Amino acid sequence: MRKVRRSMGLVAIAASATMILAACGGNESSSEETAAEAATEEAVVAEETVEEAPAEGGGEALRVTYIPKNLGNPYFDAIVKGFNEAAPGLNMTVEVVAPAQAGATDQIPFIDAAIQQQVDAIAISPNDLDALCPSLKRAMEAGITVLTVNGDTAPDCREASITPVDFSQLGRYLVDLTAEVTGGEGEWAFLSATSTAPDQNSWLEAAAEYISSGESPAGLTLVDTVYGDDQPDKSATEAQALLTKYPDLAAINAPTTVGIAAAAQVLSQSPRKGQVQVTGLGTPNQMREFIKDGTVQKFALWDPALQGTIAANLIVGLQNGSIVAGEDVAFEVPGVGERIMAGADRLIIAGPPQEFDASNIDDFDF
Amino acid sequence: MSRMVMQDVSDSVVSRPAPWFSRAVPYLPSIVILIAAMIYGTVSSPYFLNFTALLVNTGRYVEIGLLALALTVVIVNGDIDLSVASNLAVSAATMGLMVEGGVAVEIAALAALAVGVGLGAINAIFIVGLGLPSLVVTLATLALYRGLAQIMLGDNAVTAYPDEFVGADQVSVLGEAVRVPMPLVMFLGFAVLFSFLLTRTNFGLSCYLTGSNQKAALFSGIKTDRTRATAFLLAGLMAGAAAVMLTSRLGSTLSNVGLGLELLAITVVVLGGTDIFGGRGTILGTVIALFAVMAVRESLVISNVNGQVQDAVVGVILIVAIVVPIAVTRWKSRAATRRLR
Repeated sequence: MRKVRRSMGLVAIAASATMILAACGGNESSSEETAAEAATEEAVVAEETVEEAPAEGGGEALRVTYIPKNLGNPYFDAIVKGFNEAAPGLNMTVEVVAPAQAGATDQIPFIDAAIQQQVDAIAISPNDLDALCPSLKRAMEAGITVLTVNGDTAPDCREASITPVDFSQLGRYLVDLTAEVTGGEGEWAFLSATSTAPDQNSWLEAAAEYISSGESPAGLTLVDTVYGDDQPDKSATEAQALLTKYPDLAAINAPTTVGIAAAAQVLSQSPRKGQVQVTGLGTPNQMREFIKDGTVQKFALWDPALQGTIAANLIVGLQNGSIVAGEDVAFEVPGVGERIMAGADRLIIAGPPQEFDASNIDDFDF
Repeated sequence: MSRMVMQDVSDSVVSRPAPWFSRAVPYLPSIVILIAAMIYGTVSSPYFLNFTALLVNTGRYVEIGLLALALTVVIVNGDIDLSVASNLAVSAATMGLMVEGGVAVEIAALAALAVGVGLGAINAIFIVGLGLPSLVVTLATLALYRGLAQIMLGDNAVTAYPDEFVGADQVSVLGEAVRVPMPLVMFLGFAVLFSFLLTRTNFGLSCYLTGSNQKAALFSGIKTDRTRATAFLLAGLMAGAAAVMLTSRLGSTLSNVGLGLELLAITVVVLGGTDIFGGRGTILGTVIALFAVMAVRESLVISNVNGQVQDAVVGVILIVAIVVPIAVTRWKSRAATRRLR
């Protein structure tokens, strides 16, 4: 008797499960209705977009999903801003979704969902070089345009990749930036991230080559390279040590956002503020106060928004067939200029480094 | 085994004569959540109710499911294994290094299973052999195994897998017409095995007894040590199996593979009505809970809800799912007390 009851319970559960499944599979008419309703809603939204946008009437709006590494990061918000500013003029809607963590596989559900939503294009700032490939390839097989933005996957998993700046030229640029803020004279030092950071090391190496080639400004002498390990405390200690060790120091160049902020903090409270220049790579929001109080003349990074602008325009071109992704294909981005999908890897450099000083720092928010 | 014990078991475990709806209570939260999520998904996105896509997407949850099956047994025993996802990483790293070294992928996959069982055995030695608490031991091996995976692979990714191995999650068992993905079938197969193990074997009976009252079980002649050790070996085996599945799905291996998966698996087990203190729990509950969590995640992601909000929703659901059954039990026992008066 007990057994019978128990199996009846199981049957009941199985039956309800079947009903749920049946509800998924069978009720296609109702799902179509829902789809139709949603389509109407979308049409209303699209009309509004068209009203706002003077250009490119007619035709359904392109649906684009942008997946940043994670959310709540002002840097990626700036890329989103680039997308959003370009979208209305391009008859495009941009949906921004991202995982809570920046783990290697955390973006996969969002890619799969975009495929299921039959979007026209996916732009992604990938968290991993390889793990996203199967999903991105499936997206491309489904006819979706796939671009990587500010980070890359293996080249066969996307049509093109947009990189913020030409990193191969950054070492040389950092030396020239130091020359600019010091007037081309004096001793200077690098305050880098960790001694094993691959990005920073490649720039430092390129800078050293530039200096030894004899083409660099002759009045500058690189006296030291120290590592703040991308920790504010350690970076500040190292910056302080540089000031003590080199009484004639003209500049500290920190090609890391943590390092430059820490060095600027040290200098802003030092009697040698104004004598020693701080420059390098930093974000406007972190450096604003030091530009305002005169500690820092000029520093650089790149404008993340530009990548969003280029991606939005490229997606339109790839979708309407006016641009075909390929080696060294050039295309025009309205208001930005010509860009090239360089090499077999189709790598697009968004632009030159963006310099920030008192005249323009308030135009940026990231 | 004495008749007394059998009597006890039948009282405490499953067979108390009770109306079917009261026995369905442990499954109720997941069933309600499953239905609610399906409704929410259907209403909020026209793209949600796509049977093929929903089926194919189960592939992403199978690794969690495999871990959850074994964890159900571990937790029924009154233990916990926090190291399963780190074990998965070491198993995957072993497989990756072997494939990179030119070993056939089938052999490497078997090696991954063996490593999984081996790491499970290390847990068992510390917990059962030395009598240390499983929470502490597996908290330590959670870090230890993950560190081991990092030492093995460094920052390198293994991508040398042959094409025919990559993408098993996209393989359909019934052909293209009805896309029933291979991982789902595999998971359901394992679920049946585990269910059989827990409900139809002496081992299963020992698990419930050990988890209900370890000392009493021991004094009643149950080999509690062997029961608990076996569960950790099973957890290791499933970690190895999940490693193979995940590697095939991603086509690459990194040392941080499966980071945090143990918490998702435990979430599923608890949501499925398994008592976190042991003694009670079913595989059916775990399976339903996996589909419930999947429905929740899939309906949220297709509605463009961001990761943080998804995590928060799952957190709220878990709290409610735990609170409701406890409240029902309390209410019922109070009602019973009132009747006695």
